[in-house]
Amino acid sequence: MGASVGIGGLIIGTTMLVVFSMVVASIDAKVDTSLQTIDSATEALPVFTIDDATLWEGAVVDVQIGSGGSGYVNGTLVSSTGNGGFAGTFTVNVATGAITAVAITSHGNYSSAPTIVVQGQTPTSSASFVVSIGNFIHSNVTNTGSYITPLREAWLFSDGANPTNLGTVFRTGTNNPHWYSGETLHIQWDESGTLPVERFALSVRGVNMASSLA
Amino acid sequence: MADGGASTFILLITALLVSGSVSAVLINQWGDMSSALEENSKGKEADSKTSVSFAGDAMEVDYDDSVSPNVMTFYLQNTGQYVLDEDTLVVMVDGVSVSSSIIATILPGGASWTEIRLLEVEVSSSSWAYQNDDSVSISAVVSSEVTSGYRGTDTMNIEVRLDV
Repeated sequence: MGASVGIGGLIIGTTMLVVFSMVVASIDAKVDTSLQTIDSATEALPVFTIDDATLWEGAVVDVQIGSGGSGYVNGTLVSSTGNGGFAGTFTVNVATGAITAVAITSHGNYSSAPTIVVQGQTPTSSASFVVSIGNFIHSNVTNTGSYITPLREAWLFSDGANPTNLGTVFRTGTNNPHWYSGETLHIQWDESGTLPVERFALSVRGVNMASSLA
Repeated sequence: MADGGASTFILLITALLVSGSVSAVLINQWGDMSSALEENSKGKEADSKTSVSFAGDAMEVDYDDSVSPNVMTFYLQNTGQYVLDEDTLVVMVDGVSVSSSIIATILPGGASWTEIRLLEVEVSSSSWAYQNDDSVSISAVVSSEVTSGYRGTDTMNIEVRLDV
């Protein structure tokens, strides 16, 4: 008789334990989900400022090699017309001294396409270049928050259009894919839109800032 | 004594049967409740990981009145963790649905609207007669792709100025 009572108690106790463990498991899962929700809600938002934004309508946006010439060594390019501030470099075919590639290091700003020449060399035959000018937006933007922004999350807009990912735009002084707290980026954006362009905007994760172009 | 033992045994068996039945009912009920809680939790988790935001310049939303019907173009960014389903996009302009005329393009080009990517949204309506600098209210509702059996949903509302 006593054994029957004991077995009965054991069955009831085991049943209660099963129910209790199910309750604990459910509450645990619920708490996990709630904590995840709270974590995502407390993630820092991007905070940034557009310190300045300037439109240069006559920037050198492209330099094509018309004729590579011969007898050159790797060197620099300058503008022989105007004082717009263009600068570039070139590399040559070592065997022939012909210019094979050009890189722009400063786009400058001109009222008409400048003449680009090689600086300080006497070639066997001279190279020539085809220059294109267009819109260039220069802007300094500062990350004033604590959120380290991956550049791929940031998008540039001109007059609310032409969305361009910040990660694909030239930035002076850094190739780092992140924009750190307190860091100022100098953006040089070949905007390629049609004139007039009046405003520049930067969007990061739902935070939008805009500025008139000087 | 024998009678007393038998009745006690009957009582014990009855108690076991009753408690077993009650436990079975309780376990069954708790199972249902637990499933409901789990579904609710997963639904909330999907919602919390689904987010869409306006991107661009709210003062310069492109409005083309040179074509018929007029076309409004703006950009949405996937700011959540789940992939969004652009086919579920519902857009309302000044409270009127224009979902039947949406042309959506993912930027940069891609097959799915993943985190951080933009969606260029072109909507049109023959009933619009907006002017330059008019303010309009844009609302967008979008759902995520089905993830773990659930879709999250998010809504975006913004007041913008049109640039004709």
